[in-house]
Amino acid sequence: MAVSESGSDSKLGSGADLRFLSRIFDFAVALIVLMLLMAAFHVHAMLTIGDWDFWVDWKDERFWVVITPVLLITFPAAFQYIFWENFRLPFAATLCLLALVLAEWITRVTAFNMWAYMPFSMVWPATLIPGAIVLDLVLMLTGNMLMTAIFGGMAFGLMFYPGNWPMLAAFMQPVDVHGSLMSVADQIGYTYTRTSTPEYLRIINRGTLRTFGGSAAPVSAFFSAFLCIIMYMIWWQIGKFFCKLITIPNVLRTHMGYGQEEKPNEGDLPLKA
Amino acid sequence: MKLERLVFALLALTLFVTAVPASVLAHGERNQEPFLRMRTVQWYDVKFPDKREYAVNDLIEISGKFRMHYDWPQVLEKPGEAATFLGIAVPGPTFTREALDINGKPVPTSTNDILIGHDYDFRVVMKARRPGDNHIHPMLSIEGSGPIIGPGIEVKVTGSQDDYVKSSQIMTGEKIENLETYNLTTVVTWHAFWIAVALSWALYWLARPLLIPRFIMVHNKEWDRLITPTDRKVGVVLLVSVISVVIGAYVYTDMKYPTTIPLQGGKTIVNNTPMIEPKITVSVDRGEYYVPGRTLTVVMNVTNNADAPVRLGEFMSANLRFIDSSVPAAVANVDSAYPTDYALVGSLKVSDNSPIQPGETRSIEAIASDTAWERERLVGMLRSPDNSFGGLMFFFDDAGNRYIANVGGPILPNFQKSTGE
Repeated sequence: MAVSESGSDSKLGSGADLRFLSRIFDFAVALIVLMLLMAAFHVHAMLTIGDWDFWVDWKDERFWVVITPVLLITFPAAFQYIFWENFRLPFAATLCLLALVLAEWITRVTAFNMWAYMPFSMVWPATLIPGAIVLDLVLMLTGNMLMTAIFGGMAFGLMFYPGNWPMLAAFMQPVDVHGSLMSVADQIGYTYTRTSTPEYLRIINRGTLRTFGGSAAPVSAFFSAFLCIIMYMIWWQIGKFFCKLITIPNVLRTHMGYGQEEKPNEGDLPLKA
Repeated sequence: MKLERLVFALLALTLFVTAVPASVLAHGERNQEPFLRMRTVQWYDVKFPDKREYAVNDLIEISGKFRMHYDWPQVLEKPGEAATFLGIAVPGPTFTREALDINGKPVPTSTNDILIGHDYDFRVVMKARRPGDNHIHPMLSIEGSGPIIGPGIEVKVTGSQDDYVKSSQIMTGEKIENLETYNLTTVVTWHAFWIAVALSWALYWLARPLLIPRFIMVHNKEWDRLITPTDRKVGVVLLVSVISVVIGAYVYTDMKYPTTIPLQGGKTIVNNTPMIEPKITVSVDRGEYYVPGRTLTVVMNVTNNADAPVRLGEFMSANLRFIDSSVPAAVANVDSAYPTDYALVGSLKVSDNSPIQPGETRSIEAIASDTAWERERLVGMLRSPDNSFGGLMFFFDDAGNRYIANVGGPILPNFQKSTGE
């Protein structure tokens, strides 16, 4: 039942009433989606990135820079398909990363600090909001998945490290700890006890990446950007998959009184319903 | 009515559990399989402080030695090949780590230099951070084997966590007043800024009709009405602004902190001392555990290659010290601050504990009997797929000199009768 153009009364009520109901529906769905994203995306981040985002002494130039954007472009890409193809709304990625960072701060305050006594200087989360906004804007301005994957996905990967550097740089200054060179982040990790997490469990700066004496971060960022392009396209398709209504043929239909001749066209069912 | 009672009971239980002040009385070491505790790291000569009550910011030091057991379980990775990290078993950062030393050398990171059969001096210094009653232990973590926890003591920490301070000094000269709060203002400010930008962008779209009207218009292919020219202009401005802020902040930060280094993940080198040829050798003939009597009996041949007659004074395994009270040097070897739960004076009997003369080989029966076998859940060794025991035997001469011998071998359970009957 459509809302009449003039706003005149329908069987459900006046046009103003329907518009009000529509807005209530909007905000209810928005709240549900935000909560859903906070929970699901946060679980995804904890299970896949985990320690690299939990601790300041895991935020290295190789693994953290590569892994974080690649694994966090997933939900934004899938939700961009859903938001864009169905509603032409270009803020899905921003909403995803906003939900994630809010959920992360809730966890950092309640679980890491209040429950496990970790200091905030050790457990602050990274942010990917700048890359997410760019991802949304590229989609809005180009209206094209491929362009968004190439330029938006690349920007998402490339902007991660410089976007977090203003928060991280102070922790990468050198200190002398009992005659060993450490960064401030290393010293924080050494000082504040994670009882069952011995130092050798840290997966940081391993490998034989040659940077001719320079920083490994730019190389990692470009590699991450390349992977983000691929990952974006994969998860866009996953978003598309979840927008489809899938039906399973009823193999018992003949036993339920339906004749063979009544078999409907497969594509008709979802649209007519 | 029943449901109400159940809900009330659950609420009361929740309140009780959360309201009772939590204290940690152990670190689950009893839940580690006996072969892990008996045949890996042998902690000995561990010195605890006399004090058991500290204020926040006080330092606590535990030192001693550990030996990497010669009969390292086959199922575990071998130290040396696997990385090792000396740490402290405390409930998270209730205590912070001030110093970790092995053989007098600081080991802030892991090392690959801890080898089977060798002895090491260790020292851990921790700083009280959070008030409460807690157990503290030294701990050696070995990659592929897990944490092996040494003996521990219970200490009380008083004061307020808010008073805890950990300062540091950056090599460029800047002093960090407190690592707890270092650079937090910057972190929070940047997060708040980006959250505000993201919220603004989301609210820009949430402010207009969102789902049903747009869904209908998308399916009517009225796309131009959904993304207006104004939206595009706003988008371009926002795109340029976001990229500019990221680049500008990056460049500014680089200028503000010109000297930065990557995270340091190198291994620490530990100075190994040569293995000492044992002057007393022990060859186990039979090991038997009498289940109802909580008694381990070891029949063994002891060869004395030392210059003086010796007597068996102590059998140590899994942090438990079974001590023969008839050997004064063994009793004197127990530090007054050592926890009495682990030092079991009078729990070791030896079939013939007259001095073993230099050059003599004698078969003796060492009987270690105490309920601690049960309390420490070491009886689980009988259910192990690799049914063996391990430990150290301490022999003493009349002058009080101590000789350490490795001991280990298969063990048989005895469910029926007392040993020796």
